Amino acid sequence: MRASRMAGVVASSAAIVAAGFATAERSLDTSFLDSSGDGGSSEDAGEPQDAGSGTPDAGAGDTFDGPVVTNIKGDFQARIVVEDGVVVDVVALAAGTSAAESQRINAEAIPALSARVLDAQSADVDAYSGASYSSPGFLESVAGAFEAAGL
Amino acid sequence: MAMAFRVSARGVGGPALGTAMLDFERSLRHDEAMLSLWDARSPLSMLARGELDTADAPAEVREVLALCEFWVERTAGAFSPRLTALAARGLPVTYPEGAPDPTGLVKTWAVARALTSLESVGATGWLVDAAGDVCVGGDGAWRVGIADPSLTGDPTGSAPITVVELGGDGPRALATSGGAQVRDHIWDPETGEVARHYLQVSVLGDDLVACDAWATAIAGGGPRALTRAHADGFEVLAVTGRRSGGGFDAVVTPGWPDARPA
Repeated sequence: MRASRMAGVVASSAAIVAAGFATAERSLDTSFLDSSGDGGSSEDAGEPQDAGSGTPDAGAGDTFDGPVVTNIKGDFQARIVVEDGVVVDVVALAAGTSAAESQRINAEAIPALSARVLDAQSADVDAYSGASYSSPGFLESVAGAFEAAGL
Repeated sequence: MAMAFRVSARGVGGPALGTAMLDFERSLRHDEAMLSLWDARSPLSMLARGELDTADAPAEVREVLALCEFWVERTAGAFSPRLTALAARGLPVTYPEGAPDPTGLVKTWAVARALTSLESVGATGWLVDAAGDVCVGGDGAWRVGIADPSLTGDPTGSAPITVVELGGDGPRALATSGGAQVRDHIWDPETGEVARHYLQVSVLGDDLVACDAWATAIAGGGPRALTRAHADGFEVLAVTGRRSGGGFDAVVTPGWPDARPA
C-alpha cells in the first residue's frame, strides 16, 4: 500500500458526469455463457470432433493422436510418441485454423502469450475497466475491415 | 442514453474540485455537440451526410477524422472508422454506408482533452473512468478491477476477474472492449467458419486513446491485431473462454502484470 493511499493523507472526491456520448446503452449478448465447452481451455472444455483414439505404430514408439479440441482460437490437436511407457515426443498436428495467415500469426502469438485462469474475486478497487459501453456495430465493422484487408 | 464519466481526485476537494468537474463536463459536452452522430445538428453529422465539407468543418472534427486515419494505418486496417449498414441502423439519423464513424475513439479523445481542467486544479492524483476505460494522473497508484465479461451495465460493486495497478511507476491507462458480440455472426468468407476471437480484451499502456483503439481493434481483429498491439508496445489480457466450473481462461502478453488478489 502506497503512502498516498493511507488514511489521512488522501482526500478523495468523486463525481459523475453524464454525457450522451456517441453511444446508446446496449445489452451485452450473453448467449456465449450457455455454450459450454465452447471456448474453454483444452483440458477441460474440449468437444472432440474426432475420437481421441490411440494409433499403435510399428517402429520406435507408439503414436497417439489426441482429440481435436476446438476453442475460439481454432482447432488444436496434439500427437504424442511413447516408447516403453515414456513420452518421447509431442507434436502439434493442428494449432489454430488451417488458413495460412492464421498459422503464421498463431506461430507468432502462441509463444508470446501465456495462459491465465481468472476467477471472480472480491477485491477493493478504485474503478473498473469493462466493456459495458462499447459499440457492437463498430466492433463488427472492425472485423469486416480485417476481412476486407484480406487478413 | 448517457454514459457515466467518473472522476476521483486526491489532495483536493470542495469548491476547487467542483469547478474543475464543471469544466471537465463542459469540455465533454462541447465535444459531443461537435462529434455526435446521434445529433443531426452536429458538424460531424452534417459532414457525414454531405452537408458540410471537411475543409469547412470545425477543428475538432478535422482533428478526430485525422486521428481515425492515423489509427487505420497503425492497426493495419483493424480499426475502421466507417459506418457499416448494421451500425447505421442503430442511429436515429440516416447516413450513407461508409460515412465517417469515429465512435471507437472519440470518447477517450474527448476525455484526454478534458483532463486539462483536472490537471490545473492542483490535485495530487486523479482517476478518470470513462464508462469502462480508465486513466490516472499525478502521484500514487490506483487499483482498477477488470470487470467480469458476462456482466451488463455498470460493474460497480461486482467481483472483478483480476486487478491491475495503475499509476505510480506503472502504466497509466487501461481500456477494455467486449468481443462477445462479434462472435457467431461474423463469417470468414474463405473458410466458411465463424470468426471467433475473444470474450473481452483489455489493453494496458500510457495513452488512453491508444489503449481504447487497440482494445477495439483486437476485439474485432483477433490474434493478428493482438500481435500488432504488443509489437506496438502495449500489454494485453484477452479472455478466451469461460470455464464450466467457474472462472475464465485468458491469455496475456509477457509484460502483463500478474494479478494479485486483494
